[in-house]
Amino acid sequence: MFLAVAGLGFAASAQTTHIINFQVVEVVAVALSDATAITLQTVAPLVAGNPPTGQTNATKYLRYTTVNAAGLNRTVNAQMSVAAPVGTRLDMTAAPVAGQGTTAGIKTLNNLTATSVITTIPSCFTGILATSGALLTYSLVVVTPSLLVVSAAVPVTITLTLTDAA
Amino acid sequence: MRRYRDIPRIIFPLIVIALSAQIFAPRVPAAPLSLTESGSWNAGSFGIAQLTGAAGTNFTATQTSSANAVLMTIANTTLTGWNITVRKVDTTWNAGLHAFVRRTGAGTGTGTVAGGLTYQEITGTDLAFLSGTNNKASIPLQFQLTGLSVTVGAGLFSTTVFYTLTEF
Repeated sequence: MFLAVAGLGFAASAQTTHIINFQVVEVVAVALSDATAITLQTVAPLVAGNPPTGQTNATKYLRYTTVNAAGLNRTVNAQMSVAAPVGTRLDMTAAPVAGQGTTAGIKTLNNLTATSVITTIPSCFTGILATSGALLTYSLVVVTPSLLVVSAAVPVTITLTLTDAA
Repeated sequence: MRRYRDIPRIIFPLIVIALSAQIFAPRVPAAPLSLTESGSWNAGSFGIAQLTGAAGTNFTATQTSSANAVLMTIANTTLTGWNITVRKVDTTWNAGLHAFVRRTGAGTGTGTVAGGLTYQEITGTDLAFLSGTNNKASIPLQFQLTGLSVTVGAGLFSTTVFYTLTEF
């Protein structure tokens, strides 16, 4: 009987483990779909007596890839290199698609301080197709027609900065 | 001179003593069933250099380990056959990430191994992975990670893979 018991098998089990891991570090990458210069001019009114207006350009997209630490977001700031010609101002709107930040709406840029144009950018990527990214709209606005003077083009560099995550 | 009828009286105690010795003799336990593996998979570090292109692009979504990232060994089997299940317990993970495992070879040894030749997802629940007979050594395992994206955010992502061997 003993031998019979000894010959019976009992299900046994064993276990082992290992780890799968990887690391994702912060990424901040930003570029324009097209970095060529655009020209905005004042436009004479169609009807005498009306004030001149300014041109608008909406041809560029801001592309970015961001990886943020948990719970943090980034912002895109814009700043002009010089002041707008006298009598005018430069307005800008950056329109990201859903999930790639929040537009700050129409913002007037200046050369003294950076202006936030996109806020609350999570870890995301815009893509790089022709119309991927946040559409940038620049508008030259005539503020005071009486101050306008005829002049050569005033080169203005717009610097767009993707901030550290905060 | 002993009579023949006394012989059972002598032999019976001897049988009892012999059986007792068999029962109570110190027994060297057999080596327990063993499942071991060597290796692990660190899929690496992902940053701006791992983007597929310029600003606006993402990481490559699918990452694959070497074909023998982990070598599994089954030893000290005593029964007819065995099977192995696999599951994972996440330490820091993301719902968009999926881990897969497959067997890329048969290993060495006199035993057999079956199943596991195509990628199967490792989930939080034990799922059948391999089956076989007898001892096998160095069964090569390969892993795949899908769903990798910048949207998972920065951090160290880690999951522990559990293999459970059961004999039957």
